Amino acid sequence: MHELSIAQSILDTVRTNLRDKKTVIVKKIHISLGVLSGVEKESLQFNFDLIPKDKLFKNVKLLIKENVLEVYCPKCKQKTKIKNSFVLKCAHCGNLTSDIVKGRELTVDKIEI
Amino acid sequence: MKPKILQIRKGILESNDLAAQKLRKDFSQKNVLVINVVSSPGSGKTELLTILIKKLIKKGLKVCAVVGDLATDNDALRLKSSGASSYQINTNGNCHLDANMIEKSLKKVPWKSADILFIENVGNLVCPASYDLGENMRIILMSVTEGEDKPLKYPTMFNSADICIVSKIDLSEAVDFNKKLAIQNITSVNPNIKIFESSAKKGIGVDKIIDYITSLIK
Repeated sequence: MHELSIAQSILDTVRTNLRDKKTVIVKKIHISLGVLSGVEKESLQFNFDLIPKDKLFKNVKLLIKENVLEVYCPKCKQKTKIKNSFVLKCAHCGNLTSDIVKGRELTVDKIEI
Repeated sequence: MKPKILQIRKGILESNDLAAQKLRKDFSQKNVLVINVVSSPGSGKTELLTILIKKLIKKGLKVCAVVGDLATDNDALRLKSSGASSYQINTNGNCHLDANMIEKSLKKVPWKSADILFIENVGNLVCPASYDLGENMRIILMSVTEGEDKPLKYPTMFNSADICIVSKIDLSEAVDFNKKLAIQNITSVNPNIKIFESSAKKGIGVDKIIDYITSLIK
């Protein structure tokens, strides 16, 4: 539902971090999206294509890398990748852990100009 | 021409996060405990806050509240009846509150002299999860009428909360609520969460929440 605001924030983030805003055209934006970031991939892609863009972002493409959930278990000191669920359970010892290593990210990684 | 790659490595919500960090610093300087209350629409946020605020004021504490709503100011009026200085943030259809809205709303309530500031978020279990408001604590309400699997359906929101209050507990029997399963689901997506139960209408469990909140005030 808030993917429209997120799409706008992506453009704002790139604009803020770009020194030369006058002569360049941004062709691609690469972002990372954790499954626990609260942002839905398909919806973000749809909203991103929808929002109006100025010359800097003319024909820009959004490339989304989706990160799965990964937790660290302090009990057995091992990491577990969690797929198809959000139950934070260590696959090695069954312990529940709140130590999330990956899955919350919502970042602009790089751009192509 | 070969495309040129520029590394950015910045959080998409960086501007909100920076605004939230500034708020958190201001709150801590003035020694105000700030609690962000989230839930789906109709879980009983306003009802519970009204009774909590009444009791906190009775204990001699100063309480402010800001409340987000898509269109009306009904909730702010209800909170006002509890004795708190309250202000309605009208989001005009926006599904969540962000740090800038909070910053603006603070001009309308005497938060600097308060002990506690409640932020009642827009009723929504998805979007508010991503937006830090500079709070010290996030409370999520889950009413027994919503079903035990809410945490599994909205893991991001449940994972982001510090406290879960299972509300409308007086209706458990009527809706065949399975408390054991609900607690299991809540802790499976957030093992560190603290769980309370309450019924604002019947006054059940409210004092335990009050004790916990007052224990956090310096």
